[in-house]
Amino acid sequence: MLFDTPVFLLFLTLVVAAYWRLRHHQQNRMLLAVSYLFYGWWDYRFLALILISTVVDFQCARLIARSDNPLHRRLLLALSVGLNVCFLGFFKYYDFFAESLAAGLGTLGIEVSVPLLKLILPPGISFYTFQELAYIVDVYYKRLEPSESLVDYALFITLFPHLIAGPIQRPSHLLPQVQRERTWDARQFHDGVMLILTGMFRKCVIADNCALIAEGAFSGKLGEPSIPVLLLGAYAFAWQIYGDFSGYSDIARGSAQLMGFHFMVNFRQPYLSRTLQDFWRRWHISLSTWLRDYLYISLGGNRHGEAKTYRNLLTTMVLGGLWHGANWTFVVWGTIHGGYLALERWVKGKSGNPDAVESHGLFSPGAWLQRIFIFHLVCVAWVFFRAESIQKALTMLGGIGRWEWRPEYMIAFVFLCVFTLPLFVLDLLLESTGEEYPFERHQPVVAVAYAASMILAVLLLSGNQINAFIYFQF
Amino acid sequence: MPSSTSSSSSSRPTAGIHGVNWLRVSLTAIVLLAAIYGLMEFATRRFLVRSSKILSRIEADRRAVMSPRQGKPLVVLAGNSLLLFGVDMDLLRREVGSEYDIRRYAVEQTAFVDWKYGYRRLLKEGVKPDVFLLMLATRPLVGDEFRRDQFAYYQLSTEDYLPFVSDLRLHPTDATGQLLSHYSNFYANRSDVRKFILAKLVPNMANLTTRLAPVGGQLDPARVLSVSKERLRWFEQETRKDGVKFALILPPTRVDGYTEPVLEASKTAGAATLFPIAGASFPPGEFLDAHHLTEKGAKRFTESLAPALKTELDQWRAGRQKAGLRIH
Repeated sequence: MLFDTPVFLLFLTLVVAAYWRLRHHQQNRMLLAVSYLFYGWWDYRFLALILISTVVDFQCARLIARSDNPLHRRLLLALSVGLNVCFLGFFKYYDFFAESLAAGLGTLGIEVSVPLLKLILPPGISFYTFQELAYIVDVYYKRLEPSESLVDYALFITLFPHLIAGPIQRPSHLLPQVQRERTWDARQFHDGVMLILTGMFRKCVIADNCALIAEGAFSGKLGEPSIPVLLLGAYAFAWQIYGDFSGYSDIARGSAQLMGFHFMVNFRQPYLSRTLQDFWRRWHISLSTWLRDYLYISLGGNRHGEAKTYRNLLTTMVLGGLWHGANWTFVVWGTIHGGYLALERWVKGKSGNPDAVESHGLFSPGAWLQRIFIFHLVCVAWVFFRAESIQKALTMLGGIGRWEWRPEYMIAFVFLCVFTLPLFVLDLLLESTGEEYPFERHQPVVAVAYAASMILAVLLLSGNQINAFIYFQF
Repeated sequence: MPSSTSSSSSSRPTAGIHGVNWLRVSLTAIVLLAAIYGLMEFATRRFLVRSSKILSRIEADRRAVMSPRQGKPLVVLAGNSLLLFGVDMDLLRREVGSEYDIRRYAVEQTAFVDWKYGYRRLLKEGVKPDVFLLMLATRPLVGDEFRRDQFAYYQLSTEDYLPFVSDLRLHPTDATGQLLSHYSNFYANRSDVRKFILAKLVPNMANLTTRLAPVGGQLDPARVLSVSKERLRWFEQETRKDGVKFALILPPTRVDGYTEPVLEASKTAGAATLFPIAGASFPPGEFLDAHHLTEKGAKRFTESLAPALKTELDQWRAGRQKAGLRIH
């Protein structure tokens, strides 16, 4: 069920009301049951898949922890990782690789017919697979004790607020919360409510309205690619995907917080970044840190010289792109960002410390020039992310060389300003205060007034289609 | 700046506001949500129809259809904007003759699904037409689109909710949304409320939304044939059960209307279909766009429709008289 639908609000209300009446172990069992119900609501056919991978990972972790034999431990790790990667690879990438293989062989003059299975993607598989991989790796490297309770482990994987589209939770962060008793805290409950309202605003008001312009630009309804169409499409999609995903993350975090769980922050005002490195410290933080810790560092990170550092950066970003979807456009998107990061590192290296962290300067003109520059670099990459094919993305970008003006373009720009400026102002506020939602540290009357304004905005200005969260397709 | 993997609890300083009952604040926010929603519900029920030209026109049509009969056969002519723009009702009534009481019920953006259940709701609300005419182009006749939330409120009856969900194989999320729309005027009309506000915030917004409107793709003639046969048969049988005569009216369009398969399907389904004049007979200046007629085009269409409709109605009337059945 989508987070921005009445049925989810009803579901959440009933679950939270029942939850706080139960004791710890009963809470976990109840949450596990409703999480499977939540998952099955999407598509009950894939319940078996998540159950199988959960049970296998649970057992492998316990056996790894109990074994001193390096070969046994490695085999168990390979079994768990292999099963998870096979499930993900089969359901998500089989058709993609099959088609790509046939196309590649076709260019060499070898005609082959590779059967396509047209598989449906199990909801959330990219997210829960990464969580399972993190768990088994952490247990293998003895960074984490395995769970002895299948219920607790299964709940760590399937806890419904993060099940379908993250944030990807680290086992060392979430599993202990599952295992220990959660105590009622009215302030945390209040924060959860505010996060949910803020998330609804980001998704329903900002993202769903920006989606209209993005769709119009990329589908050709606004006309052939030209400078205005390219700018409208890129800007609209940039704010759409940000509002959509940060909104989802806020609702997920807020929902979890109503039950005493604390999820990691997933976005920190990414469009205020002054460098690409900073951007990746602020955008989809749960994924970027996962890639850093389990892929980039495993490949060697920056420990083996500059050439290998660039290789590792590019590899990580390319695979990160591929994680987003079975299409070459995502690979190109990841490659572009990998290239950006490598180039930025090289430039920084020339001028000093390549690992230097930029200091903040919220209102300095120089900082704003940097932010605008970085935002546009990110938008170029978004064109590939949004387009259906590389050819269409290049056609869209080719619009930079063509000027055409229609009266609708001014209307579209005004529309976009109406729906992006509020989120931009919200981000400025959060950046300057360090809060997680506006007016977090203000008096209750201000909090209530903020809540009322969010409620009014969502009720009156929500985009009128049911738009699934973009990251649900990953 | 806090660590990037920090949770909300470990990195945030405490709020520094003491002695506050945060549970009460949260409950206030939740109660506020309910109160604001209630206010919106009251406001839309009270004021929306009055402030919306489209909704007030639809309401006027609905009241006209539901008003007491006039001692002559009641002919309900239902459809979407093609009916609204394409038929000159005064001219039609004059040309068909005063022995029939023809009442229009036009609801923009409606299609087969809307009228399948809309017809049933009319009967449940006490409207008993003698003749039910449905004016739909091919695409809305065979497609699965419908007026979404407004359909659920205005055209779906409570008893038909489950059959509708099953008929369209709605996902449970969509089905529960439709249920809320069925009972909540605000939820059903929220997109119109949004359009109203956007029109104030963004000048000439309608010009942009027209350009962004979805465009249908090519239709498969074989599918048009099979689906229209099934749907026309449904209407024919459903109306016959109620003692109502049914006929489909196909409007003219500037693009390929796929009318041949529909005409063939209507013969097989045993449903009367009137296609008085093709779009090609109209000069381009008599179309506003690919489908909607200008005033002049509507006059031309109505002048072609009226005699065909009169013949159809007279035949129906004669048949009933011959069978000794009541005319109305």
